[in-house]
Amino acid sequence: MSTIEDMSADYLRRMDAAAGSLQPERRAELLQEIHEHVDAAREAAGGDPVAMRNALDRLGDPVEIVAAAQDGPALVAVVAPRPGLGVEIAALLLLTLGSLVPFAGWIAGVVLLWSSRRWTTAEKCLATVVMPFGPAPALFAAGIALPSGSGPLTVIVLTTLVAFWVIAPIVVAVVLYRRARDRAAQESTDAATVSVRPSYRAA
Amino acid sequence: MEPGEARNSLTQLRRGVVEYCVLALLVKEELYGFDLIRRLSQVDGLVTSEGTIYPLLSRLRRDGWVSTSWRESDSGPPRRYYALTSDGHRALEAFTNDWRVFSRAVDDLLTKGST
Repeated sequence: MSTIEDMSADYLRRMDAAAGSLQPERRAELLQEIHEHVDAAREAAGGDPVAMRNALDRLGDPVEIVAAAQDGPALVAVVAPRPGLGVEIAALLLLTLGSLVPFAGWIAGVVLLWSSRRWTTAEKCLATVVMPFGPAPALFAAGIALPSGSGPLTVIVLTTLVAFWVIAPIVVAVVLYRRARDRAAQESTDAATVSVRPSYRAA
Repeated sequence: MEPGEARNSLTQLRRGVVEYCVLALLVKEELYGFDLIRRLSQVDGLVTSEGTIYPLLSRLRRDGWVSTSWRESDSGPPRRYYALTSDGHRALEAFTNDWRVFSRAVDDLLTKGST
């Protein structure tokens, strides 16, 4: 059976680890408060391990506490979320399947890609660079190369083309779709948090 | 409605209300975190994870609704005490008025619905 000291140390270790994602200033403040709380709880437990266990259970999961600390003042500036992922899905479809329409489809996809606020600039650059005119040109190239002979060199060239020009855009599209979906979900959580704070805010 | 959904709506309600309960506890006296949370936890169902009150207190401080000061303690290191500011007072008053009207209206409706 673990002692009160072990329990406290274990809890604080998990807390310190979970708080790693916070801004330094806020992390220092939160950790200091939680350490203080655990000290006070240890004192209140008066040597009773069960009382200490209960106190730590009531204090809650460190991950949950850190999540609560991440809802910061920036939330107030959150605009009403655009529901759905229509723009993002259209952008990704145009960047991949849309490239079957020479140039126009892919360019429309790039425009939509850069208009979305659910991707970072780095992600947008990646999607633009990794999908130059989409996977369709690779298929056309394969179509031209195929009749001209099927030696081992052609097979290697075709495999490489397919790998880099077809699979890479699809992988990037899937990753970007997931990120957009997660950020859309985060937006609605944030909006819910904002909406429960009505007009009592000091002017 | 399933009981689970009722609990979920309670979570939503709790989230909006708990910060005003914190302000209310500070009306009469300044408290340090551990003590404040212990009192808050005595209200059944109000706090599920006590640790999440600390980020809430931090937000209230940044909003200027509470202020903090360090005080020596008899046992151990100094403690951070929380006090209500005048902005916090005003916010609590505004909420209290709205809450009375709101809770009475909901009570009426729930009573009517059950008879």
